Amino acid sequence: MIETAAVTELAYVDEIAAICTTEIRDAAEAIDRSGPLMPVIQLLATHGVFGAFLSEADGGRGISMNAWGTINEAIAAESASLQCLCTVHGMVSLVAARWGSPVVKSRFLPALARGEMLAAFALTEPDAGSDIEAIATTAAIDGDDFVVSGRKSWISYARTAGVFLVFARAEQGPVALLVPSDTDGLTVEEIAPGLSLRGSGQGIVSFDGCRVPRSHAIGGIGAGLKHVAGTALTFGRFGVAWAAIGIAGRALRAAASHATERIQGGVPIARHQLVASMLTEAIVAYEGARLLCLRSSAAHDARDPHLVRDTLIAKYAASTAAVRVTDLAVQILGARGLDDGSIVQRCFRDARALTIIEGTSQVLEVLIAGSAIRDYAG
Amino acid sequence: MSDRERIRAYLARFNSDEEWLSSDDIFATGVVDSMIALELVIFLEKTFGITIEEDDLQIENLCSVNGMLGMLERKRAMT
Repeated sequence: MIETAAVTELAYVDEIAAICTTEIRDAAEAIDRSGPLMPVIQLLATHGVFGAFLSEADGGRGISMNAWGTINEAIAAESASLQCLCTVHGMVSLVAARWGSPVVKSRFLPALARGEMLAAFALTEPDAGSDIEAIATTAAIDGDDFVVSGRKSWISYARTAGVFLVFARAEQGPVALLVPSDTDGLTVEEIAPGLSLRGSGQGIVSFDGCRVPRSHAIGGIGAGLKHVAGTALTFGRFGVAWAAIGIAGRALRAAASHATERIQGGVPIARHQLVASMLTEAIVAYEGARLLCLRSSAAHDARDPHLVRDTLIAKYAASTAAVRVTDLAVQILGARGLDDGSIVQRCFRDARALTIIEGTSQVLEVLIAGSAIRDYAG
Repeated sequence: MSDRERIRAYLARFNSDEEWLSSDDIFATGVVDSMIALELVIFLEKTFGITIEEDDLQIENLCSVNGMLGMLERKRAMT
């Protein structure tokens, strides 16, 4: 007999997938051109997407990470910019639920779980990214408060965020703390969209003496930060990996459809050996990376410590595959692939960001090689 | 296998050097990056059936085998 919880979860994934191929598909081009669309974000919130992976006790639906991956895949297949919100909002919500103080859990978590308050992840600075030790933003302790000063750049969904998870440096060590967007001294400057994820509302966030209670720190000062950062980044990389699969799959389907419909020399171009070669390379890259993502999902659901390593590998493989598959898809579609509004050119642009965000491929190579030393060497 | 042996066997995956395994601060040498730190928390939770909460994220609870055993003992006493 099939378990009821599993059936309910499958039905939920189908419900979100149906929204993706209708409302989100219809809105995706506008998001890419104009930035975040609140009605679409509210639609996802209404369906409980933003807190879906949180436990029911934390206000979520308690779905498996396998289901969460599939939902992220489905959203990214239509709008990678919109999926980006699931990643950054989820990273903040997860650590608030996992390591947040009672104040954080009562003041922020319920609204985050419902998607009524949106969160952004404010780690990156002009001169600090993966190297947390290099953060210049300061959080000085003054009585019961932190006073935050500094500048964070390339922050996705900066304008729509109701709260930022800010990584800063206190005298006692590094700290991660929640700073509401209406805090005095906090300003957001929008950045003109670049090559990728043009609809993710990127901004520069400045903190000029922003005062927040010490209870807004997540995971304490110093030692705890490694766990907060590790938990958030692993979750973020998991989302990026599944986003890459969504993008690659969408581009592959467009390329395969075109290759079977486009007739040249009396046969569909899929029958031309050089096009068949491109399709094969795309299919193998996509399916191989998707299997690695499924392995990562299974490790998350089993709470296997290998989930950290498996997620690094999934993110590395899927983002690399997405760049290659979307490149091949543009080539297969030829001039049509370059057209303004063509789905494969948007996939091509968006895929490019995924080997950079939440840890560049080069940073991941160092980390993955480190695990290989443990798992394969002598 | 005792709790101590299980923790040491797990940590030995990252560095089997006896001096490191018995040190007061396994974080000091740079062997433990944020990824390994997260793996360690998941390992402790899964192996010993505990939940490491915000208050447990103190350096003294996670920086040595003795610290981890002490935390484990306190958490078991609370349940």
